[in-house]
Amino acid sequence: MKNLLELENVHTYIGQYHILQGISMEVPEGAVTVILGRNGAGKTTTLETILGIKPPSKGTVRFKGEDIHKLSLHNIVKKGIGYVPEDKRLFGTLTVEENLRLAERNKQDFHRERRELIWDLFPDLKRAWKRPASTLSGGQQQMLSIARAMINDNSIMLIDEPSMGLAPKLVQEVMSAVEQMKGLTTVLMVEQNLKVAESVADRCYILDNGMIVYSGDIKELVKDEELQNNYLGVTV
Amino acid sequence: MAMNQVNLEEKMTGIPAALWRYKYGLILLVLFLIYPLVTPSIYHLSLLIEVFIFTVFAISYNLMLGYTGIISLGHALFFGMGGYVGGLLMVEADYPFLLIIPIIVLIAIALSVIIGFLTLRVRAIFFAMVTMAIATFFWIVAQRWTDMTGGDDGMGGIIPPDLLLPRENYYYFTLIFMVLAYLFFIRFVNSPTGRILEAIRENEERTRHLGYNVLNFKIIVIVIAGIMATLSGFFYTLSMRFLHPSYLDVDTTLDALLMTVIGGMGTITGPFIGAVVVKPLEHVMSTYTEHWLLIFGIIYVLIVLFLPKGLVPSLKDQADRLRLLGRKLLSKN
Amino acid sequence: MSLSLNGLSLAMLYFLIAAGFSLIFGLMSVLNLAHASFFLWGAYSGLAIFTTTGNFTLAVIGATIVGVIMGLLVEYLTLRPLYGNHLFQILMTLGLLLVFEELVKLIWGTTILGFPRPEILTGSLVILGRYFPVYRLFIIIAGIVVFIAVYLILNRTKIGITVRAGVEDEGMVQALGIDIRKVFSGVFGLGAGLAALGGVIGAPFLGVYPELGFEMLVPALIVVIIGGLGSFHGSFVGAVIIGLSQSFGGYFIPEFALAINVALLAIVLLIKPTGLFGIEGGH
Repeated sequence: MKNLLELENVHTYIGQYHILQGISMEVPEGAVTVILGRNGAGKTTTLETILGIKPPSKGTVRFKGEDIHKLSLHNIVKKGIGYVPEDKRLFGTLTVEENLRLAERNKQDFHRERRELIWDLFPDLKRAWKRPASTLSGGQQQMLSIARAMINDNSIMLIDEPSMGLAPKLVQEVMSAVEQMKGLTTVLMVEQNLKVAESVADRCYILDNGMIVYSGDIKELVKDEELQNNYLGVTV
Repeated sequence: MAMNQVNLEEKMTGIPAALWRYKYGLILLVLFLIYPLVTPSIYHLSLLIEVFIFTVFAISYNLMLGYTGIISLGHALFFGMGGYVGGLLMVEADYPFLLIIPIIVLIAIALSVIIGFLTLRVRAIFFAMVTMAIATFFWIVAQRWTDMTGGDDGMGGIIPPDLLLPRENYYYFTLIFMVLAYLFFIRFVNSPTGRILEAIRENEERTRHLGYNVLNFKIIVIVIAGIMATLSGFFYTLSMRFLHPSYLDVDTTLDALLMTVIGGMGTITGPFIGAVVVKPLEHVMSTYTEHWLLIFGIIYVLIVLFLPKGLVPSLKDQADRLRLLGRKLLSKN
Repeated sequence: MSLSLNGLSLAMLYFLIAAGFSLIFGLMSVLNLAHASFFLWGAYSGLAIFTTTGNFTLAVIGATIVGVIMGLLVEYLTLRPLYGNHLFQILMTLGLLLVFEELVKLIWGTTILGFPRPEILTGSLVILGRYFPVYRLFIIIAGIVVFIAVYLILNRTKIGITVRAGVEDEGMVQALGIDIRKVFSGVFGLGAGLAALGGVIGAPFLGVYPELGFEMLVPALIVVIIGGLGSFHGSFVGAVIIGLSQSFGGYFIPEFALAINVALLAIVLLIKPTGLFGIEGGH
């Protein structure tokens, strides 16, 4: 399998704090790759570094074979990256439709097609089409945030803890959406909950203190309780 | 040589150390003390009086802007209030000098607390906007309420008490005023409260998370700044023996801002350097061209853009760099 | 009736200056005090064009263009290097306010200049047996037209949606692949153009003098606080409130028209500190 995204020895600082301490990572095309790890391990920072929100001080980020770590955020995104941030970051005063319209970057007819797909996946959004995003429930907001990244023909989706703060039933719904995406695009997802990750992931990385301590098949990790104890702090 | 100096400073403690630390200030103070004995030029004394008073006004601004990161666009409000309330009480009501001071101080406290509470609780930027609005309001009142204030013609006849009547005496009086303000200023910014203010300036959010009530500290600062500016305005009025709406207008606020920016925000020496550069320059330039404010404005804009540490600190940095370069060259030889 | 007409025409001028001022703050967190300079320069450049060409339409268009160009230059040359440093941006815009006013004094002098009303807009209309000065009606109509036009842009076009989204969370707008700097420049230019438009159409009504900018700045500050910083329709409603209260207050107690507005300001800050239409922004 070809690698769509590669990180090579990436170091990132936030202020004086050395958050990512030499991370190398490969995200194969068409698969779901999950980054696991405790709070503060540097998972979100990894995504933000890829996007150029927190540019790396050292190392390279390669996307489709091109170095992107020197580009600015909006130019990186335009290469074909969809982003679902941790706290959703919807525009509360904008309607559901406007939130999606703002995100659209491709051809008109493509978006029409994608809207249909989104309506199929999340019928709630269709019903709330003209309502301000701030009036949606937490689950619906997460769906809209995912839909916003799906509206474009993105080659990869960076999804940050989609299960956070959602009821189990909604988590399932969100995960089935991620499952659907598999056919359409590559996914790199940050997740804290191993059980949730296991249901969709092909590959996984574990981050600890800004360093990668495990990489490989997620099935192996599920079997290895010691590894889970050491780096995730919980067993399944 | 440099080593010896460091040792000397380390050996000294207590009062001698403090004296040594502020040696340049003390030398300057001695010079100011003997100055009237050397040249009794009324013009020069008046100019220096103005410098002393505006130094205190600039200290008050520096406490807000430089040390706490609060921006006021209507600091003239306090300066002018001190002048008008103090001056009118003196002329119209015949209040004695020593009674007026506590009165205007109390008004300054009330005004600062009200404005601070109304605005800083919401958004720091509102303080800037509302101070500007209220200062303009009082400026218009001073212009229009001609029966009381004389309007744009101003109002004269505000005479200092007998003891302060001779120019030399008023000179010493304002010199003492400045020295006291400076002593307070140095102590205050080096106190635990001063450190918290700097923490607020650097990162307000974090300071709040550490459990400090940021609003209270900010209000303390604007109250102190308000008192200082009010007294400066009153003493300035007594020095000019004249009241004018311009004490309340935006140019007066700009004066304080300009001095703070030129002298260096958040520095001890900044207010004095700012005042000693700006005030005489204003006098000199205004005799040559009526467009001196334009020149000042352009200088100010360029400083904000290119020398954000302030004109004098930036020049000092350059000098230090040159000195270091020179020393390196010498040691190589 | 004539008072409310007077108040409304004043309100439209406040609106034209406050709208851009508020949007610029909402979008870029820049308190652009120099916004009043665009109004001032709109008035002077409009007068200059009108006296040379005698064509009022040309003066209005020309002054607006002058405003847009000034806005773009101010944003690009003086504010862009300072993004992320709000304190220095305010210090900068205050300095620019002074410089632009002094430049006016240097070029046109300090005396009050009259701006003759174009002939079609002089005189009065009789509606329902009452006289209405045509020029005031013109200002009111112009203000309403601008309000509707900008309202439609903000709500119907993608650019407008981008601006509204940027007011909420500029970082996320960028994360959707949009170059927020271009949006900043655009809004700054448009806002400056609206202020300059206010200046040129207000000039025949207010007169043209160097302090005009500063005199408009203070009511504009009050308007945006009352309407809610960053809210476009808030600036319209705020402007109407302030325009009317100033006009009525000024009629009954002439010296203290501003006092009423300062009191209104205090009441709003006490009861609804974010303003009537304020958004709790992400910043």
